[in-house]
Amino acid sequence: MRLAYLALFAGAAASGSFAQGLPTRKTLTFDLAQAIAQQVLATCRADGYKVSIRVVDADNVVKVVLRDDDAFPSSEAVTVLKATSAIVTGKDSGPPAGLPPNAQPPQAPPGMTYFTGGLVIKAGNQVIGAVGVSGAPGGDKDAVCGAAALAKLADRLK
Amino acid sequence: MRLVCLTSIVAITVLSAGAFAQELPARKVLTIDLARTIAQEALAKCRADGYKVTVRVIDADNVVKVVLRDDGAILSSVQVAQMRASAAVLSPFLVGRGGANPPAGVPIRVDNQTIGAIGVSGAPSGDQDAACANAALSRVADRLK
Repeated sequence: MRLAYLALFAGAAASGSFAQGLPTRKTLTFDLAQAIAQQVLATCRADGYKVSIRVVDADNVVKVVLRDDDAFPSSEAVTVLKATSAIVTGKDSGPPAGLPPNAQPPQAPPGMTYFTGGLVIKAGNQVIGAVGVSGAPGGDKDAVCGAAALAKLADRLK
Repeated sequence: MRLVCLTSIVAITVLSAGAFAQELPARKVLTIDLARTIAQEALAKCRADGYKVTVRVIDADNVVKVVLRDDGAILSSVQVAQMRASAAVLSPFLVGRGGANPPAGVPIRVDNQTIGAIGVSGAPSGDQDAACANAALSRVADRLK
């Protein structure tokens, strides 16, 4: 009987989740974060916009910040809102879904924004970080050059 | 008498015009390219020394130009790097003082003009952080003009 218990215990331990160790998640490295930030800066410059860029990890802790020459100083604060919105919602920042056309969006929750320009960085289906872009006239243009830059680095997002 | 007055007015007008005719003073500004190079050099130096740090480079107006947080740098290093960089431009008299003052960031100077500052945090001691900042500035010394 004791042997049976022992065998049962050993079997449970071997096949149970404890034996496999804790789950892991992919992390955004500094090198990739820096590459993303520089790519966004270059892409927005090519579009004629001087922007601030903030790349954060999945915990919304900063990895890289770049503020281009002549990007207005407060653009950096807006990148914080945009990156936070992307991390909190798990998707690119933007006005809430189901809003009637031309309707004014409600006030965003504290620390967040409904402006576009906050983009999630995904490895597969997993959000590993976000990039907030601000400085172009209109959040849509921020989002366009941000997305173009991420697309160029798609092969490293895995 | 009237002639004297007239002469004075003309003289004043000419002098004033002369003052206005001068261009407004210009100051050198820290560019993103230089700021990024400085930050990368500091991070590389700390990596070579075996330290994972956060580097923050700000301009003379205490507005951020570059932040780099290396993999594994402790989270509080973000805040401390900010405090150090800001201290260097907001309270220049703190810089370089020992004693009770915490190690501040290092101002980025061109001639005698402060164009920005660098703050490093994450190494076990502030001196090691400052060594990375100073190493970075000496690497780009020829561009600080």
